[in-house]
Amino acid sequence: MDSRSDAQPFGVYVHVPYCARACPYCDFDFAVDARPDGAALIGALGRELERREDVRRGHAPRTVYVGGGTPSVLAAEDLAGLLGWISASWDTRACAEWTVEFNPEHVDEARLDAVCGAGVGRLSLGVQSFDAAGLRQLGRAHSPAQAVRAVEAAHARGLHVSLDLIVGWPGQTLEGLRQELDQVLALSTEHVSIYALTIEPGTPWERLAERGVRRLPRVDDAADAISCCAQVLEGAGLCHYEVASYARPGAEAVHNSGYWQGRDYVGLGPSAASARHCGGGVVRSSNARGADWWNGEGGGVETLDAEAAAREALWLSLRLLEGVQVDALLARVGRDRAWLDERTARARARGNVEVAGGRLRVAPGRWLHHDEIAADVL
Amino acid sequence: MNARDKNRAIVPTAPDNSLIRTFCIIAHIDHGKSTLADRLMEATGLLGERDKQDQYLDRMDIERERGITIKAQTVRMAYTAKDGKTYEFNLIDTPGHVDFGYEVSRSLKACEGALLVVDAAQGVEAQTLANVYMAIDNDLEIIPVINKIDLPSADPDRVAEEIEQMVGLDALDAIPCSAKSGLGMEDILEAIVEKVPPPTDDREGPLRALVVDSWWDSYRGVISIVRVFSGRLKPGMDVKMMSNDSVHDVLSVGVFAPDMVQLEEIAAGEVGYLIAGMKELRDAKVGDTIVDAADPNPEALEGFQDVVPMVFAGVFPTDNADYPTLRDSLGKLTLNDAAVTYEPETSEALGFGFRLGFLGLLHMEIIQERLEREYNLDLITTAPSVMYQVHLKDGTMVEVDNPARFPELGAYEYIEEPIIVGRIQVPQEHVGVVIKLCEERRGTQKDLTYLTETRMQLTYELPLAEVVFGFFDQLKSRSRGYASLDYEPGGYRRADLVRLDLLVNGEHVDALSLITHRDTAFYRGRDLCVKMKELVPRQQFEVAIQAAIGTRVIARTTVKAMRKNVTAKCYGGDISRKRKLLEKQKKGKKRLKAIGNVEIPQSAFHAVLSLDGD
Repeated sequence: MDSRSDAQPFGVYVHVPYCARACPYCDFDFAVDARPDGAALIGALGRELERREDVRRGHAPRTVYVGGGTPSVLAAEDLAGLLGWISASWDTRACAEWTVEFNPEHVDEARLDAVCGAGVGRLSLGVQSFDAAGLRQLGRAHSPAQAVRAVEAAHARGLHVSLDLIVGWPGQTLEGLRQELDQVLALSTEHVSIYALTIEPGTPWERLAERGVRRLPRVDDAADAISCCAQVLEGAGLCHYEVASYARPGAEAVHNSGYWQGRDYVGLGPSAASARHCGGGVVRSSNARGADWWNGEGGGVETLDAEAAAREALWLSLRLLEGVQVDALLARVGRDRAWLDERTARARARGNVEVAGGRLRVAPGRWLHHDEIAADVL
Repeated sequence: MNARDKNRAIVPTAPDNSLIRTFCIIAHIDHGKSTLADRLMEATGLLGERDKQDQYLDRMDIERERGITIKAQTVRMAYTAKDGKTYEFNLIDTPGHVDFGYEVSRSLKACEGALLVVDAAQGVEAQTLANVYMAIDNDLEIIPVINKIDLPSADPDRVAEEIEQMVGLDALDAIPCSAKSGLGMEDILEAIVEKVPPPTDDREGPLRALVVDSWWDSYRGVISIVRVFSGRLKPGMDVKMMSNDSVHDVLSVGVFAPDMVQLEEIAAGEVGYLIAGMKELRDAKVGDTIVDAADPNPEALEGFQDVVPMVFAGVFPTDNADYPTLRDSLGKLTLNDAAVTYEPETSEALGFGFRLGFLGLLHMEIIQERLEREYNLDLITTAPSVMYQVHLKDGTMVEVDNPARFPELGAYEYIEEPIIVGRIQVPQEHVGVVIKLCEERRGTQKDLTYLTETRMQLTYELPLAEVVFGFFDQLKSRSRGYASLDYEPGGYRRADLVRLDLLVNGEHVDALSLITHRDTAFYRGRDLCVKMKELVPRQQFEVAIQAAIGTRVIARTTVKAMRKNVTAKCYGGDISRKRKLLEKQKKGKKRLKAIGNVEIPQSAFHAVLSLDGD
């Protein structure tokens, strides 16, 4: 690995591939296991660390993110063990942000002790809904009251909270959604992520819909829902800084923003993705999924040349709604203004992106068409 | 010994005409003609176990996949009959679909006999009957064969009766068989020996050979299938084509058995291939007569009618950069299919392309599929049209096959449209729905007769344009699959026609204009708008779809704006996965065609075709 790359700030992502139960919409990599063997996971992660040469062991990552699956399904001592293993593998003392994903029903004193003891500063809570009917549809194990108590307990320990909400599920009304958002605002979480429910191929929900047992979400309802969220949350002073993310000023997610800003990251665990920028290009790799990872098998590697990396950087930088300094972007990807004009010609002609004050950004309100913009600039 | 050597060993050349039998197979589509040909080849040892591949003679992938025969093929077999003699069989396999009727008519001219294959469950169909009449006109000996007798729904007695009543052949002679299991093959082979007369042609007379089919082969140049009616065709001869007096040196003659096998000669009474160094297909025109270049008194045999395209459509590359590839591909494809005509066309909506003429809708589908598949092109085909005769105010007449080029209202006196005479066979209980369909399609009843006690034949004059748009599908579905259709051109007739235009967000889409009768224009316009609404994907903005006659809008639908096109999920930094999804989306978009700022999929240009799917 070249030294230039080594010097760049990077993030660490660790994937915990267990869930207590399967959510019908989810296509992430997980195994259903209510009492997973934490020691086995740490052992396997350790072997991956030994095996790989690109993990910058011992270096100081800018951010750490422990996701899943459901990391909080680990027992408190296993969670403490995993976080301790991370601190032993990298220098986490100067971390700008360390986040662990939690399900509300797992927030208890013992696990909070574990995260606080390790130096974790932020919980990403998979609340998904404050509506009991919504939680049932989404297959979640917790109640709205549990979600409220979880946020309050985390706040009581001085942790920042990011709250995930899934909207646009069949049967959700805008009025109901507004009540959920009132609840979100009442809890004063630092960060909110809003996802419109999408049913991926191969998920249980899709099969249930094929059998007529469940409805599929409608795209117009989803548009109404995410627009409503933007209006309410921005009205309450949260900043809509990324397509799916809202934050109190200064509480924007550092680790996830790194994905959009073209930073390096190292992913460990099944299906985890890594990225390394060097020589104008990007090397993106992802670990094997499921049993293959446990057997020590490698995953896929994709090397993007400078042009492909530049197009990708253009798309990713537009995820952040404040946009990107044109000069800085072009310098980073080694392209000129003519290149940018050509790549963005269609999106600009449609009024979807604009250049203002030296910044390129998605035009107001057009974040709803971000995939269309992406397809245009890629 | 490789397969070719093995085949060479068994290719018979009969010492004289008495041992030659040349025949074809007549059958409705799906009645098992190509399978029967396979079985006959197996029974005569031409195909071994390892050659097993269904529909051996259908060489084009597209023929096998669709289970149909498009091009005629020939094959020579040896059969040792019960009388102990070995006969030379020449089999000509022919297409069954109405679009390719002309191929059948050519094949018949080259034969002395025909196997009439009828499905034991389905019975005699219109196309079969039309081909049988053609065979009778050509003085062919007809051997009825009832196929698929092992099907549970088989009713050979009823079918035999139909053959007797409808075709006028003695049903006692009908041979029951199953091409699938091989049952009855020997009976068929013996019947060919007994019943098909040997050719009476004179081997010692001056050379007279008829070109039955020709195609282009990139290695050998033009290959022709010929039937020699007099004399002998040998390599080294100089031959002359009667139609253009061009002289060619015969390089090779032979037969398919089933692969190409070179022979010393093709003598009178025989069928085989000819390669004579021709560089262009027009030098080997189908129906032409080949004579000896030194013949002082050459005489032409009776040829074939030229094939006239009936249906026309614009074909455009989705990506305009592919235009030169399309042009070159058409040049190559028409080497093999002289029935396709083409000339350049420009569309405001679709850019540069070609206007193609086809024999019918199936032919059109096949050509489009061959272009896309064999030449790797991504194409948009406009809805088909027929050739109109537009009589202008100045007394002149112009032929228009493209609705986009149709003169404005008021610029013409009157219009005439092509008519066909259609013969529809249908069981009595379905006659009502068929009459209703024909009336809806502006048909005029000419005749109604009983073919058998339960089966009727309706003769209708119908505007070709009405037949082109889904008539056949409707006929099949309304009669539960029992009606069958055969047709022939029936001249031109005056009709009150108008051009219906389609506008997308105010932009006239010339490629979607269609000609329709004034009485049905409103319904067509409305249906077209409704159909287009289904086919045009939602865009970022609202899209208005309007149908208009001249400047008068007669129907409108609206495609609502797409309000959201974003999937927020990007799991754990798996950017690659997300990007691949987006790139897939982008690829899909490249197949869209921009009309103004509205993007329309290829399928929308076929909207007109599916209008009658009621």
